[in-house]
Amino acid sequence: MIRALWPALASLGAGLVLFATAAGAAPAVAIPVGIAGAVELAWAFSVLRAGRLVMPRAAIVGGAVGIVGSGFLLLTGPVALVPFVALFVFHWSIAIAAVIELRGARARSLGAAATVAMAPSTAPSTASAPAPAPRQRRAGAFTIVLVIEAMLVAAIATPALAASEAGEFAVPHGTLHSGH
Amino acid sequence: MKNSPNRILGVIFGAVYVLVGLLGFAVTGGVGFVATEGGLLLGIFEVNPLHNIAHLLIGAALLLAGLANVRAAKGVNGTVGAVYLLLGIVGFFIADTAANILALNTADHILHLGSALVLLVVAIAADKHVAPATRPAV
Repeated sequence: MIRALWPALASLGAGLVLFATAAGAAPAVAIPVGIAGAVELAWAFSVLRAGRLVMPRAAIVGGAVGIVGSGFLLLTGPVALVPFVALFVFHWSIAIAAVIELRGARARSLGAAATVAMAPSTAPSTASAPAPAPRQRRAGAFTIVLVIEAMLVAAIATPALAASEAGEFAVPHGTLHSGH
Repeated sequence: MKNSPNRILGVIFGAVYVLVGLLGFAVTGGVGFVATEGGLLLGIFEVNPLHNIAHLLIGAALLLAGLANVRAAKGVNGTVGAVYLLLGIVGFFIADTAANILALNTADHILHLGSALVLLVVAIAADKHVAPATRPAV
């Protein structure tokens, strides 16, 4: 589950930035971008519920589409540089995580096939199986990784939200405005 | 409790939010109850008295549920996470208006969004062995 946390959090962050972009854009841009944001959130919740990176091939394609699409939005105007960088980081890391997941799955299936071919014995060997980590340690590691990654996503997403078209109307009090 | 990420995070976040709520009153002397311009907690987070009370209530709920059991912690974490996510999004768009009754600033948004992600994700992804509450037969 821990390995699937970052792609899920990154997808949540990307979805929020896409919603902010849609909120400040013309309908022709807002509708597809809003749908993309909803897809990002849905995929993130699917990953969290499954406890693993689901649909890795679709995630790679989605990551690539996200990078190209946000680049297009940067060049045509609806997305500023900061949201673009956030979207790039989120989508790039999702795609990389999906590639790693696919390679891992392929290696596991090859390893399983080799094991079956080389050891025809019906009795499964448990001598070399790694001992399961104590539950307490796993819970602690999960908690620490989750907090660090969630705060990192928040720190990347918040400036991107502030720099979005909609965020321009939401400049915080006392920090950027001086004429109150 | 050490086996459950929901209980661990509920207790930690609850204690921190209660502390933040109490400390907030030290910087909001003379600030209106729902003033859109508040005092700065730790020099970063803008708060007003209503914001402090919200922190106290949310912190108490997280702390009590975390100390109680896994099911309670999971439920409160998910609920508070969803509320924070809503606040992180909606609060963002009302920050420069009279509707900003919590005196939110950018640091608040980062903290709320981070808290929302942590609490929502832990509620969804951790402690899956805990069965949902069953409705009693009538």
